[in-house]
Amino acid sequence: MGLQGSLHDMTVADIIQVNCQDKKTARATIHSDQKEAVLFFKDGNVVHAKMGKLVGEEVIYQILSWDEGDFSIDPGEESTDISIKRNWSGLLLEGAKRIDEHTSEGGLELDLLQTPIDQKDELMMGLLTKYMESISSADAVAIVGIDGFIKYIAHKNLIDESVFGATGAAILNLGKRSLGLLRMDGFSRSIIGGDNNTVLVAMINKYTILVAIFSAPVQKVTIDWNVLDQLMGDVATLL
Amino acid sequence: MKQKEMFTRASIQALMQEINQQGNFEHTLLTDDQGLPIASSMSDLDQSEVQAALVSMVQKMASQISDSLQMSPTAEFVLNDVEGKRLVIRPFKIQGTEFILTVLIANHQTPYRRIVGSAIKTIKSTWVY
Repeated sequence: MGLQGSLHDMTVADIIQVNCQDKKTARATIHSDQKEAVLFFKDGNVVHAKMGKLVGEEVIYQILSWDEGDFSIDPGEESTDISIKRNWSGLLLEGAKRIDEHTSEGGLELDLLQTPIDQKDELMMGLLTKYMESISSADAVAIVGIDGFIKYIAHKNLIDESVFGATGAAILNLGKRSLGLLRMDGFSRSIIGGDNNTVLVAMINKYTILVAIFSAPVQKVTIDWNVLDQLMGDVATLL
Repeated sequence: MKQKEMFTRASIQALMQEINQQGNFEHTLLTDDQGLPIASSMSDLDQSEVQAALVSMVQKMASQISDSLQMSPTAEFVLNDVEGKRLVIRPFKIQGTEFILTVLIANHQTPYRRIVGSAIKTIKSTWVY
């Protein structure tokens, strides 16, 4: 039995991320505005994509901006064709880059399509920046996928984003595994405090975490949990 | 010497019970760096051994993560579950040997830092090799 849903509930990027992270062999059929795109997943990557006469990576870049429509996923369906070699996170990064470039060029169609996403990005960055500035020791606050891929980040000091995202994902995995072994309930949040700095990881939803780094020892970092919960609620709504 | 060591272990065992009661914690556990329990507020020794091994493993992994972020050594590792339970892992050293004090707290709003900090000071001052 396959999964069906609306792009309001699960974006194209989410569909790719979830199927690749779970290393599913599956076919996703996505409809939007009378167009149909078909993606095939295998061994943790998108291996083939087609939309009309268009085949390969270009299909992904075109459909990443779809926010209206529906999708269905058929597990176990394999493709005999291989048209995509790039790994899935690379596809999403390149897709995001192209959307940004097109938007800055001022293409009318893309501008119209991207307006809600731009507004969302602006709101998201506003939330993160406001939170970061409310805690003097906060160096960076980011919204990170469970794969370690940074979706949004606000930072005061220069940081290595790839290490930051990967560390957040590693803490999440450690937390989940530890709680499971200790027979406690699902992961909610975790803090690793050093003598000079502190890292906070909190679960926003099934696929996304909030990661914050503070340049102060854990005893000196004052986190207002109500404010943090409010921030995470707002972020979850925007996501 | 043997008699003094036994007395020390007994007093640390009593300290675990005291911390647990004072802090209103669910469970308090002192572990060595090999993941073996030294003292526990729980009467079930088998359960304490399992938890001690797990805590030690979790602490080592947390340290590896701290290293990857080029952080200073882990002073505290806290895990909250969705039900609001909180696991606090505090590594500390006595004469170069690492120990881990772990407390399990039923309500994540229960304060713990002062009691745990004071307990570590007491352990350090009473520990005899």
